[in-house]
Amino acid sequence: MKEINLMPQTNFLITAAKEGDAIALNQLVKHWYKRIYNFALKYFGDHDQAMEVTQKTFISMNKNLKSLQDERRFKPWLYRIASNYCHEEARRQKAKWVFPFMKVQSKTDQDFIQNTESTDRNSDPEKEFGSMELKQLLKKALAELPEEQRLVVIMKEYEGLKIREIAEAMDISENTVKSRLYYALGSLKKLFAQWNINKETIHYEL
Amino acid sequence: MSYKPTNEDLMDYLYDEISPEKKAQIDDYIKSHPEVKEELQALEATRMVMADLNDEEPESIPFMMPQTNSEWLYWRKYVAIAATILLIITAGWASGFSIQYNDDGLQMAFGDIQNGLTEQQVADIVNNDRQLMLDYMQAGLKSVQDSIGIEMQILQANMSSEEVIKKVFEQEKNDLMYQMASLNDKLGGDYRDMLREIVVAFSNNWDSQRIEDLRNIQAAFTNLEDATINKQLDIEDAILTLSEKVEIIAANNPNKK
Repeated sequence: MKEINLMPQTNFLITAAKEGDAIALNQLVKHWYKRIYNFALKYFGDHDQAMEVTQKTFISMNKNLKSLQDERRFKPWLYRIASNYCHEEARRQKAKWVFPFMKVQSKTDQDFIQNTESTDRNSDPEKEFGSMELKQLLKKALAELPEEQRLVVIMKEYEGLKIREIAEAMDISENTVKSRLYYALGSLKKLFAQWNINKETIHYEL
Repeated sequence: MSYKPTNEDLMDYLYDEISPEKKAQIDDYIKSHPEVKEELQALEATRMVMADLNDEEPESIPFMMPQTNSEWLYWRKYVAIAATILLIITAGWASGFSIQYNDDGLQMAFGDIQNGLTEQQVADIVNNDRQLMLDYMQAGLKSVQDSIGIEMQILQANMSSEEVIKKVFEQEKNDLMYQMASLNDKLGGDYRDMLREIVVAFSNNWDSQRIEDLRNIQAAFTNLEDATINKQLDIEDAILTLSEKVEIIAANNPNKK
């Protein structure tokens, strides 16, 4: 993963940001903003909630960076903040009962509408729509997982954290991480078989 | 072979976060257990499918300011409260705001405190006002009563003098009589004229009727005359013809004397 290569630089940035360097702080945000956004986006499958969590995460990071003892543990530390906010947001959403017709059209819906209109004349609409549909299915598959399994899978598969780092971020043992990963992958495998998704269908659609 | 990798070991193996010794051990195990190999391959395939979900670009990256001077941040709200209180006190002092509490109650004012009206004063005002209103209404009623009394007196005075009534009655009667007489005259004149017109019309009608009848009688006589003359002529002709015939027969008759 790209971030791993940037680790020394990140460490330097963290040190500078802790000392109140605005440029270093903003560089740090720039490095991690997209990652945290995508982490939250995969957790919720919803742009607005992902943005909310991302913003809260970086505000919290800015506030608490000084309390971070070891710069090398920045990554699990940051994901820990993000997953806490994800959990909190999910609980808040569950408590808030919204009528479907009261829901404001989110960015995901807008993207869906835009994607149905082909911008490129030469592009094959069926192909584009097909790959988009697969993405929707994958998002749905993630949403089907229990929260703790979902967090682990996202951190491992999409964020490239080491099992050790995930254990640290979620404050659980490494073995728990592995077993959650194992069950999560098993559930996903079953879901894909159910939806008739496999390597061949992907290659066909790609 | 006693070794059997746990699910956790398989995860280590799958993600390649494993020591070389353990990796070799699992590799050995897989060789003799194709079902585990199959499972690992299926999980690997699942991972490949998952990898198709790409990153998305967030809308914008915010600009952040580092948290500095956190002591000040802590005290800031208290300083703000203190400043607000100071501002209020200064404003109160500048505008001469004062508060006092005594038997009359809580009193607040800009400048000197002036007592408002007491309960008794308010009650007096209300009573005065009510009295004024009552007086006015009584005066109005009295004036109406007076005017009615005067009218009554006039009426009574008139009633008492019989002379006046008689005179008025007489006058009224005369007036009425005169009106009736004039009406009668007018009616009489009208009737006479109408009667005369009727008589004239009747006589005219009568005349014309008589003349018409006479004409008819004359015409009838004329017709009769004409008819008589015609009959006479016919008879004459007939006699003539008869006489001729008789002559012819007489001439032809040898038995003639």
